[in-house]
Amino acid sequence: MNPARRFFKLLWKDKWALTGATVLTFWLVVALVPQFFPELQDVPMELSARLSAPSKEFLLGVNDNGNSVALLLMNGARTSLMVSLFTVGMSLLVGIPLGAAAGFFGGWVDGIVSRLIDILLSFPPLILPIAITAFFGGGLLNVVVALSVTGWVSYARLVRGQFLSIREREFVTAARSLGAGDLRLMFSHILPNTLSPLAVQATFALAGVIISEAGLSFLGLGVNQSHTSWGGLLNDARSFLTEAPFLAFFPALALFSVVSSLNFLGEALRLAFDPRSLSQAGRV
Amino acid sequence: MLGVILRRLLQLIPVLLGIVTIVFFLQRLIPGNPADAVLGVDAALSAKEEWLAKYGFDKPIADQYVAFLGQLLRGDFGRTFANYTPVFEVIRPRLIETAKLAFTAFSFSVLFATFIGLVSAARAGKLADKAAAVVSVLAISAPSFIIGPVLMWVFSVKLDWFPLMGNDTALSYVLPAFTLGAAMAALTSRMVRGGLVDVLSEDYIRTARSKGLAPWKVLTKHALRNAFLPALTILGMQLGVLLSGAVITEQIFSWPGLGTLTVEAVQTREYNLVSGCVLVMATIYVVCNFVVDLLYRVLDPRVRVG
Repeated sequence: MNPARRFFKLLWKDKWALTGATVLTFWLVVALVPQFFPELQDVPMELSARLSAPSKEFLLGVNDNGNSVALLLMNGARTSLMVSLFTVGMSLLVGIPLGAAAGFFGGWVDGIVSRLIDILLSFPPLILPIAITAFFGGGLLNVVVALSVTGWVSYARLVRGQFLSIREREFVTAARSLGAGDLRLMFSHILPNTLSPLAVQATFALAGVIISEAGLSFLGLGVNQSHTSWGGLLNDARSFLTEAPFLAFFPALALFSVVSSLNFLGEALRLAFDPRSLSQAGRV
Repeated sequence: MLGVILRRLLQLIPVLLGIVTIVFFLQRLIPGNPADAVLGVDAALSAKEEWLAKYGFDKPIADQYVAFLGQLLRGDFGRTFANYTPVFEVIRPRLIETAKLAFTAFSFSVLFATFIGLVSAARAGKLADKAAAVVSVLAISAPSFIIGPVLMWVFSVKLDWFPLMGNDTALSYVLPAFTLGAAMAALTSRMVRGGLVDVLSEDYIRTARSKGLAPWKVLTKHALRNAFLPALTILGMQLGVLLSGAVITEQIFSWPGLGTLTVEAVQTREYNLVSGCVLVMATIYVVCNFVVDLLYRVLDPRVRVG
């Protein structure tokens, strides 16, 4: 059975992954709404309704600035989607060629890339992005760059390892003897064999990026000025925990639902691509 | 063993040099004149020049880099912009507060993880084990800025058991330590459980049981010691994370540690202080991983030295 069919079959059987996929579809639709209706990107201020609890008029309540929490969450979903897709995309663009070159050529190329990876992994999680946004300021682009600076490392390590083991296989030698050049060998013959673990890694990374972006915004170093962020909403809500706990509850629920859904989906994807772990998990 | 330690120490040098280089150039790459950022664009030109000379920003970048390395070797992280205090003097008291919180969180995590791991392994497949698995997944998935406010709301706002913020009493350690250590406790408890379940099918455990030892004694005396080894690596790495990465938890509970200092330094544009905090955090992280690596080799002679 091909991986795609196995994935959908697993998804259908695994109620956690299916719930995850449903939740993610919901948030994807929510995130795209302000994209198609730009007037929703400016959340109106109803000062008279400040801090009012969820009601028929304001489904998820109103914050201290008089903004509807539902609209803020919708725009926050759009931000999370943009940051996570751009960051994972940029990390893949940097990580794949560097990892491929390190694994394929070995020698000094591998030496340089591996040392760089070692150094970047020596920073505690989130500290380098904090330093970058601290020095260069927040905003969407800076946050994406800051998270990509450390994000590419995991892909490069993965691709490097795969290339190291695959480059000695017979089909690579066969292609080389038929006259394929280095670039052709790397990107047409070896790379397609690394795509499944990359897809799994990228799914988990989406969850990681969403948490990191929310963390940066929580600290006031994220996209706060120009975009609404769930992390920023959580930070604002801290001052109103006593009088309006729903201000913290809804962004927390949104973040938690997206992150755990992505994790469940990533796990299903991993099992679909690696039938050996499927039998180990007793799911065949 | 001494040779291994020396070789590992030598391998640390390029990593630490890399960290210092990245932090140095990040700070120097800040767009515009640093004097503009600190004194304001409208400040007098002579004042700006004087300020640049005072902090060495007027020299060529290569000279600044060499001077920076020399300073660090002497344990000097530079001076703050506001009142020319040595950066490390500002960092030291905050580092102590972070260490207190980190060790509280660490101890709590180890105790909790061992207890949950033991119960889950002893009741493998039963309700207690399944419940522990679900709670662990939840604790691992929820970041601290979700767990923290939830705990605050339940235990400070509703029940009024613990103070909402600060570090004035012993009770004020409970919620931040729990927030900081929850994910680590969950992760470690799963590892302890997994290790125990593997070990429990070994021959020496059957021997211990057949000579009539009480089940809890078999678990704690014979099985736990071997089962804990895989968890050690995670624990050591996590201690580094706790000591260095408590930024968000400290911010939630307004804990006066290194994390809140970093955020304050960013807000007041104290760039030397930001660099100092980042360097201290990264160094602690690297050293923690180094120590764990050595400890692992000491505790498990099967690990190949190299």
